[in-house]
Amino acid sequence: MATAQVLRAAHTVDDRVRVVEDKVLEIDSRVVGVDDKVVVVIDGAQPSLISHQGKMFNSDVPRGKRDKGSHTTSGRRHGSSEMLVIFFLRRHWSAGSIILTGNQLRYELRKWLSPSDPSINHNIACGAHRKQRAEWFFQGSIFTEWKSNGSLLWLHGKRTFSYISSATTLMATSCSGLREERTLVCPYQLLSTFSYSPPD
Amino acid sequence: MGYFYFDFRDSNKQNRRDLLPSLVTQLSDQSHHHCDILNALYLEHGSGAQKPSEDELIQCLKDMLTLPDQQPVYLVIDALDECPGTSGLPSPREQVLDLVKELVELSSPNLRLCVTSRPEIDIRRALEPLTSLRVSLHDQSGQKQDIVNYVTSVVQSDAKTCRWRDDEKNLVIETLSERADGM
Repeated sequence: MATAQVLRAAHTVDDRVRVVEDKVLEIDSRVVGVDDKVVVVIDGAQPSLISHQGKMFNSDVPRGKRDKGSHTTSGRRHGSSEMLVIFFLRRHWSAGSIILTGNQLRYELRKWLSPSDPSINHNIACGAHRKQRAEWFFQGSIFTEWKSNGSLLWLHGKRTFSYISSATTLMATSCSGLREERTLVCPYQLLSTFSYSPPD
Repeated sequence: MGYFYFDFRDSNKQNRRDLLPSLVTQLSDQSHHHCDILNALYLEHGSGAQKPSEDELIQCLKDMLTLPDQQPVYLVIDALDECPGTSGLPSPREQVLDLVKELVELSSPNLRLCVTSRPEIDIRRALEPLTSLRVSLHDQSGQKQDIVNYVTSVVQSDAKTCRWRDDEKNLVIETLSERADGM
C-alpha cells in the first residue's frame, strides 16, 4: 500500500493528510517515516504496528534495512539515528481510515504553544503537602460534592496553602483515573503511557 | 486533568495567556479526543506557523470541556491572587476571572474546576455568585471552619435556640467558634 494511499485514509480533514504528506518519506514499502521519526508499519490491507504497546522499536528495524528502502521522493533522506517510535492509532480501521496521532503530534503541539512548566510549583507544593495532609478537607462534604457533580470549587485563605491545591491535584488525578506522570510530559514518558486503541 | 500555578515570581505564570496553553496541552496529552481538537486549531494556523489568539484558545478549551461522553475533566488553578489585579484594563486577573465564569457557565457535566486564592475582594465578588462550594482555609488546620459549621447547625436546629433572634444566634456562633481554639 503506497504511503499516499494510507495517508489519504487518515480520518478528518484533508489538511491533515496534506500536511503529513509533505513530511513523509517512504523508507520502504512497509515503513513510513515522518521527518526523522519512524511512525508505523503498513503492510497489505491492515496496518500493523511493529512496536508493541509502548515499546521502543528503533532496535527492531535494522539501520541497513531502513537505508535500503530509502527510495525517497524529492531526494529527502532519512536522517536520524536517534529514532523515536511513534504510534499510529488504529481506531476506525474498519472504516478504512487511520488516524495519525501520538507523540509526534503532541510534541509539535507543545512546541507550538510552548506552555510554561507547572511541575516546579507543583513539586514545591507537594513537599508542603507531605507535611500537612489536609485530610479534614478531603473527607469533608464540600470536596465530596465537588468530586461527584460540582463544577467550581473555590478554596480561599490567608495563608500559603498551595499544599491544598497540590493535594487537590493529586486527588483529582486519582479521581480521573490518570497517572500523574502523564501531566508532566516528556515524550519518552508519554510513549510508555499511551496505549494502543483497538478499532471501535 | 490540568493544573496551573499562578506565581508572582515567574513572569510566565501570571496571565490568561500563560494559563490557556498550559491547560489545553495538558488535556491534549491525556486524551486523543482532546488532541484532535487542538490539532484542528494547529492545522488552521498553518501547522503552527501562526500563534492562536486567546479567544481561539478559549474556544479550544471549551470544546474540550463540552465533548460528550467523556470522563470528568479536573482543572486546578492555584493562587489566582498572584495574577496581577492592578495593571491593565481589563487586568490580567479580571481576564482570568472572566474565563472562570465562562467555563462555569458552560454547565458541562464533565468539568470539575478548582480555584484557590486569597479572599481578595475582586476575586470574592467574581467567584461567590458562581458557586456554593467554598472552603475557607483561613486557619491552619481547617478545624475552625468545622467548628463554625457544627455550632451553626446546632444553634439553628435546636428547639430552644432556633427561636432566638438572628443577632443573638450569630453572637453565640461567633463567640463559641472564636474561643474554641481548635478544641
